[in-house]
Amino acid sequence: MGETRRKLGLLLSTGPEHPNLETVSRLSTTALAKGHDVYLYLIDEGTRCLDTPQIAHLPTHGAKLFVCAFGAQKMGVPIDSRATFCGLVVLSDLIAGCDRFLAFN
Amino acid sequence: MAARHILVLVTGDPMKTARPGEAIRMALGLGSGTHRVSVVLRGPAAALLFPEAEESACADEVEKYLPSLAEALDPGFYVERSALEGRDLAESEFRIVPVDPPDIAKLMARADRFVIF
Repeated sequence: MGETRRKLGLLLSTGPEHPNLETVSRLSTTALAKGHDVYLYLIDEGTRCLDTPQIAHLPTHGAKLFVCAFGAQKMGVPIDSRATFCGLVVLSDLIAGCDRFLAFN
Repeated sequence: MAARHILVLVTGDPMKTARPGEAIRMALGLGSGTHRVSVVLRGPAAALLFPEAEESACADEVEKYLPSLAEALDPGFYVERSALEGRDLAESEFRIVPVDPPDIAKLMARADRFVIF
């Protein structure tokens, strides 16, 4: 019997130099491989992780990738079609709608 | 979607990093919808509520977001009691609820979601 499909929400607020990046990437990859839905929200310094290989490949595997537009602007991250750039309302919805929510700060 | 009780625990030093200010902005954003937000300040993060915050690395966020967040918090900001030692609470314009680590543990146990900055 297969596992029930669940929604995993992840928040990443640290930059590419922090080990959180690898943790979030592997956790996301594993969850996707098991058939779960992954919603990743990058905020603050985490917006700088958008172009890292660890994060950039996740949408092609089915992850839904959101980036804090305010944080991206502050960090000088270009706003384009690589991800959904949005506000905290989306994070609020993720927190409400996901079965599990983990913050990596 | 279900409303959640979100606990935002801030431990960073606002005199050294802007991250506590980002936590404040996020707490305000998350609490402006249906969720209930509680904020706990530990250690150096307590400085956010005192006049020196005007000189901190997140002075802009403190000025823009802290008053609105304070209005939304019931009963106020939870602050680790040991972080208040040597401080005069009358110097803060915010409602402060001193708490000990066991109280923080209880708050965490009651919350549905945690964001630790």
